[in-house]
Amino acid sequence: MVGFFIGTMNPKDWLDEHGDALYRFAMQRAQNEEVASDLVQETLLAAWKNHTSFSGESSVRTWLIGILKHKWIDHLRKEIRQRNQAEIADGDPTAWFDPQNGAWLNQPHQWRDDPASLCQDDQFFKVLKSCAEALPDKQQLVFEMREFQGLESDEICKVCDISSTNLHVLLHRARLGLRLCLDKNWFK
Amino acid sequence: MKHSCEKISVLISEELERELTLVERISMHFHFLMCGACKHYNDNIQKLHRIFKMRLKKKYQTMTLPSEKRDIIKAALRKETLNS
Repeated sequence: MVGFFIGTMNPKDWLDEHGDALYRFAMQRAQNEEVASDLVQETLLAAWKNHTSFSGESSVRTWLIGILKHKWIDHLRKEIRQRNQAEIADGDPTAWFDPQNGAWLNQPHQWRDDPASLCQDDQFFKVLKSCAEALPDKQQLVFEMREFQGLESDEICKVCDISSTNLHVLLHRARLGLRLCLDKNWFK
Repeated sequence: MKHSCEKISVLISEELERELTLVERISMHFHFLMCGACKHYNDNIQKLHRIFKMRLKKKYQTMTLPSEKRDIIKAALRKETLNS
């Protein structure tokens, strides 16, 4: 049985058949060509080294994407360790609401623009990016992973080694800050 | 107001991260009936989330692995498979 899989498993075929899909997945997360292609290479090498562990229950692509996810998480962990994000404090949410009755201090208004046209608007994304960069570091980091890179909550918790409660608080604060920044700089 | 806007705003964000309980959903939508600010906040946050999703999909769906990168990977694979 194992022989059968080795026979049909050739890393060069994987690259031909799944290279673009792996690269897209890596680019979406890393948003950097060098990092993304390194991740694809590491994934294929790791897949080759462990090809006997491929059970054949999932498709080759699903299996490869699974390995890529792990490689990406390893990469992020390293990066976070380097940036030493863990120590950085995050913002105070009490500034958003009246401490007496919990009502909005700065009331949100309706945004009229249509999401479909905004998502094609590079100017809007520039404003969005600079608003995100103005957030406290920890909020910015998790918010970018969640929304700019499209990671799922549980992936972010694993990478940053935080609880889901902690993540939810950070995302909540990030959304409060980002929304107000967009209100002032775009939807005015 | 039974539920303060501060508490509702937490639920609005968490709805994007986890499944809210029935009670949470009802209290949130009931609050929206009385509070325009929270309803707008919910619309803003949902809209933003949708924009990000659409952008990700659009930006990456046609991307391909550059051929020079492909060659580098191919060489690395060849070296590795010959070694084993």
